[in-house]
Amino acid sequence: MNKGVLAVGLVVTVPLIGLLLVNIHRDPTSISSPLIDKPAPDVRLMELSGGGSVQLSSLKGRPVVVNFWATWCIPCVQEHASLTAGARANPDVAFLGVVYEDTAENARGFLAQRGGAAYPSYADDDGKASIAFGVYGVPETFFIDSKGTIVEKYVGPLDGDTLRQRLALARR
Amino acid sequence: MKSPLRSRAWVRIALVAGLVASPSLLRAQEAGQGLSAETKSILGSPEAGDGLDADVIAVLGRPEGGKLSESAVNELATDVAAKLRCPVCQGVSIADSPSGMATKMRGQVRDLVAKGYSEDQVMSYFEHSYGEFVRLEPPLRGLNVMLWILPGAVLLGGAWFVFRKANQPVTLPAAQGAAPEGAPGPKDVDPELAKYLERIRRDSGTSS
Repeated sequence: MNKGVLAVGLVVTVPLIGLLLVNIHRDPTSISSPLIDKPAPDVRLMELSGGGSVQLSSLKGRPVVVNFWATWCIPCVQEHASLTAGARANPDVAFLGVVYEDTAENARGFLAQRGGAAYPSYADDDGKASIAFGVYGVPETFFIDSKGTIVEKYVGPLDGDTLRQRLALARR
Repeated sequence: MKSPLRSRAWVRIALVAGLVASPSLLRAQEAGQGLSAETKSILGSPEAGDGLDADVIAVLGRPEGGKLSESAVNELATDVAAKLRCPVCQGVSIADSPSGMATKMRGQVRDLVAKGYSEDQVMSYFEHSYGEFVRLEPPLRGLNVMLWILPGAVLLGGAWFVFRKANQPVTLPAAQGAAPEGAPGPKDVDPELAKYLERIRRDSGTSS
């Protein structure tokens, strides 16, 4: 075989095979976020009722789970029961929902239909919280440790086991 | 001198006002908890402008761009929006996307520009949360330099290769036999025709 052709072929294919081997075990639901190991964005979230607000940094001192969701998002509906059970089983963790691209009215209706919420959800009408967290779509869940550092971002519906594993990271 | 009745009325008014104001005071206190000293100092300073968000200050600090007129704000916001990738679309800027998320991102760009943040600051605010991916044009740094250099290098390399090939003298197969100049050599002749050619040569006495 022509040595030149072989050399060019190797130069093209070896890096591609390397890239495949490096990423073959990567979890596609764990989209890397530039915010991992950085302080959580100190957003102010408005209550769904339009009344009060909460500044995220005021929750420092305990692990926080921030779940971006919407009523039109099927995977969000699927994970709702796991999150509700998780919030009830872990009273030391602050669970928050942030409504993404949806109305407060829809969110309130959704939660009322399911017998009320186990944790508060907040509106993000101007999208500033979603932008500050670099949200691409829903559901996306951020796990924040008690120092206010984002330790994990989970993309897709959470089940009980995944939630427990990620909570352990936020508790460390 | 005030009558005791009137001063009691003032106390009552003050008490009612206090009761009405306390929930909002509590909320404001709750909202302001946990902010860093620097954020609080910027939030509290009148020259930094009103309505700055704590998370923006934590990432960008004070605005560096200066206050602009309404039309200049719109112009700069449109320019910056054209350079930011819409995260829920395919290779489209937020200026070109009708999606809800892009609309909100345009709103945030305009808001930041109106508060006096410079173009670089606005770009780095979005880059902070979405990563370099959010810039439609990859910046000229790190491995990205290859993106800018490689296409040109490949084009120049290709042009050089073609030029070299085009200028190479054509080497003809070594002439065999006594075929006259211009006549097809033995290698050029179709094998099917070769036997007829050979027969003609033999019949005409020119066979080699």
